[in-house]
Amino acid sequence: MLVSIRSLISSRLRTPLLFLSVLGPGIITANAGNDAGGIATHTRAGADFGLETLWIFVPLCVALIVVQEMANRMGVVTGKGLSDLIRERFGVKITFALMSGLLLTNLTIIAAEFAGVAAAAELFGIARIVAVPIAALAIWALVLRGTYKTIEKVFLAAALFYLSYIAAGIIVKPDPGEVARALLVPRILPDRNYIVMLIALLGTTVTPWMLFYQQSSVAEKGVHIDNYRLSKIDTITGCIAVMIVAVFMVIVSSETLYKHGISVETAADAAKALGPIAGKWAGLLFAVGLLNASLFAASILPLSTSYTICEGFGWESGLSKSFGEAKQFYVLFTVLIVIGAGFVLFQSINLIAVMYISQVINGVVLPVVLVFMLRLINDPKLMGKRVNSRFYNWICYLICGATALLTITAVIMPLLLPGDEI
Amino acid sequence: MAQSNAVGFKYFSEILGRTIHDHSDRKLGRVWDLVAELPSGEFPYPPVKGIVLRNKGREFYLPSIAFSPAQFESGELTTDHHPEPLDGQLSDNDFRVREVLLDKQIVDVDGAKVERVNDVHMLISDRPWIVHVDVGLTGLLRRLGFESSVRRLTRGILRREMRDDLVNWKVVQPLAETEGTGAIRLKVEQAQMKQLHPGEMADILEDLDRDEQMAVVRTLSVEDAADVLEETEEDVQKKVFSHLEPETAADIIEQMDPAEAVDILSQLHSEQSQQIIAAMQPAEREQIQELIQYNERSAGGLMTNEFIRLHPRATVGQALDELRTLAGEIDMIFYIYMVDGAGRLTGVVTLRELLTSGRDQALNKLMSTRLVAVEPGTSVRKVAETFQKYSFLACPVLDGGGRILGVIDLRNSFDDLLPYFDKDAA
Repeated sequence: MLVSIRSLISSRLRTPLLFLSVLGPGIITANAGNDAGGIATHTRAGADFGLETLWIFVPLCVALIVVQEMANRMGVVTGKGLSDLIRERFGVKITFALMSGLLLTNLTIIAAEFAGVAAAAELFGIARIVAVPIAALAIWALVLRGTYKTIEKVFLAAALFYLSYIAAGIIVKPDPGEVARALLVPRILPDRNYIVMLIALLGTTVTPWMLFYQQSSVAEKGVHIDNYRLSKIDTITGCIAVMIVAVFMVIVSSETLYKHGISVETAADAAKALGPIAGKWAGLLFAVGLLNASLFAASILPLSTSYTICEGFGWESGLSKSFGEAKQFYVLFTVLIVIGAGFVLFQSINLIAVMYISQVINGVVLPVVLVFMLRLINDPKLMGKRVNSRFYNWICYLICGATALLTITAVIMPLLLPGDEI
Repeated sequence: MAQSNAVGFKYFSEILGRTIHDHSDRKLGRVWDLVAELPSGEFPYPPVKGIVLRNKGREFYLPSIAFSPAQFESGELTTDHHPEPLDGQLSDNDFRVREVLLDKQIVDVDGAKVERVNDVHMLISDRPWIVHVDVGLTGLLRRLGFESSVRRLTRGILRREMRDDLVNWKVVQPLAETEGTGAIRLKVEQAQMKQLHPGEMADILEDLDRDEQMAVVRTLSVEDAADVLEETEEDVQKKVFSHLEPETAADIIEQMDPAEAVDILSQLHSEQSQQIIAAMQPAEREQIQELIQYNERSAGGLMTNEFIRLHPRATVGQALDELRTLAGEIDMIFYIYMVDGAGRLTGVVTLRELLTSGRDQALNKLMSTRLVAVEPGTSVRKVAETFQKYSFLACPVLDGGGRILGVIDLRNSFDDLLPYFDKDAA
């Protein structure tokens, strides 16, 4: 042979860098977390409290990295999805209870995404009755007709769009010293609404569906254990990227809305309010960003939910199967989109309430999922020597405890203090 | 034997968790698991040897002879036997039903499908025998405690009886984890798996998770593994080959058609494919290296270099002998290519022509010299058009000097060519 093996192979290699072939699940999952609910929450955090909530993003980032890394590690080591493992280890009853909880949470989140689509469309002057069904149909078609590879590429491209928030954050010229102080010095305001906002930020950042999604997409990708380090980098990069974007969202909203004393209820208010202050491009950017984020998450959530539930119950699943082979999968996927989008068409339904309820269920389900994950990941039969370290476990217990505590607070507080808006 | 005094059927879920008492009504523990013995001899069903019960977090063992068949059937488990510690009770041929079957995946060899086990169906005779696994919705509902209410509902509203979805043990291939105590080995019923068509086996492989895929692939012979993996989806091929040791991977790759092998190797990370190629036999390695330089989306990427070539002066008899020795390894045997001393393609003889001619006939008298060929850089679309226009089974690939580099086998490239076939042009 005239040419060396190395150059022969590299000439045919479709993925020139190893990292690129492992890249994806982490970045996609984390960015999908920055969805319609995320944008609404982050914008309100900035509008209502300026930079005062920024410090929470540091511990949140650590928490996100820790739990996502665990899901990632289990996916790489076992090659199985989380619901698979839960079913095999804890039996059908626990699986059923957990899947019901997950279905309920995810359904409300999907509704929230379509609410984001509706809000963004209305900013462009398109009625929701037109925009939402078109978006639902487009998502349905894209996911059912595309292959995993093309969908992943679309998702990765959509994730790039989040960079625009960073650009906007630089354009509004925040004081770097002030931002650094707000990020690094924790300070709790003696304000009920502030506490509720911290809970909302936690709820929108760490969600049960992300754990399921991360693990199955890594398992599906078949990442080899030798490449685990790269996969870990993908996860951590994704988590840090999403937190940076979130921080910039807060900064933008703080510099524009908070400084002008404008409070917002919805993401749409925020876009409208941004217009006159930061120039019409800022408002437009916000609307496009909201649409992108909503569509992005509204595609991933129904898909991931269907996969997770079918996995747990042993039903055929996957886009490569025909409808006849994987009935439950396709029916679930379609029903989730139809109900999620249908919710939004009724003007009378309070979307804020839907999002609030979804965060409460989220807060209840998350610590439960984490406890199951901890039991699985500490089992040497399953994980070999890649079980959690003790330090890692303690961080997880802390996250479980904090989530549970905050959720209880979030549920009780409005009951104790009626008349207060959430 | 066992069937003679059959008294009835029972689901595992109906006794799972039941409290076992002794005759003075003392609680011995709860039913936690069953121990069954792998079938041997002519009766193909595993007998249930005993019950694992759990009491205050510890596991104990009671042999099934401690209960009468009637007790099993009614679920009223009372015994005079004293529970013994579980250690040392299980032999190599035993497996734990819950650990190995319940909530786990099995392969239904008959339906060529992967299913999750919702329940285990037992025939209660002289003792319980495992006869079916329940993979249906009714099993799922039964485990959740909704079975009777849902049954009543469908009967009342839909006027339909819900059907059970039971898979006979005879066609069940358990897929337990490779480690763990209930190591029911895939080897047990391997013979059944081997009866599957490679295409069906490929479908099954796609439904399994990685460890199971690896376990199944490892039970197959190198030849069978090559056949099956040629048929599986790209991402499964990629997963399996990147997790196999390079030596095993190389053995399997060597058995594949080179064109297919190159496709797989080019999907892997360069480090992995280099290791595999390095572990291959020199002859096969050279074949792969010849092919791997071509773009996947061109004629060169589709072609294989395993075909039969002879000098035009050879006779039909020599050609038939050559065919007989090579046919086992080479996919494309329908055409014999005539190649001169300089490696140039001069003609083609079909298998039909060989079979209908005398043994002494020289091939250059038989061969067709009106050759249709493509170049390695020819686009896939053009290749498809060529196949459609001339409707042959294989197309030679020639370099600029007319030397034959390889042939494209229509059957092996069908999936790549299909999108370009034009219905109207046919």
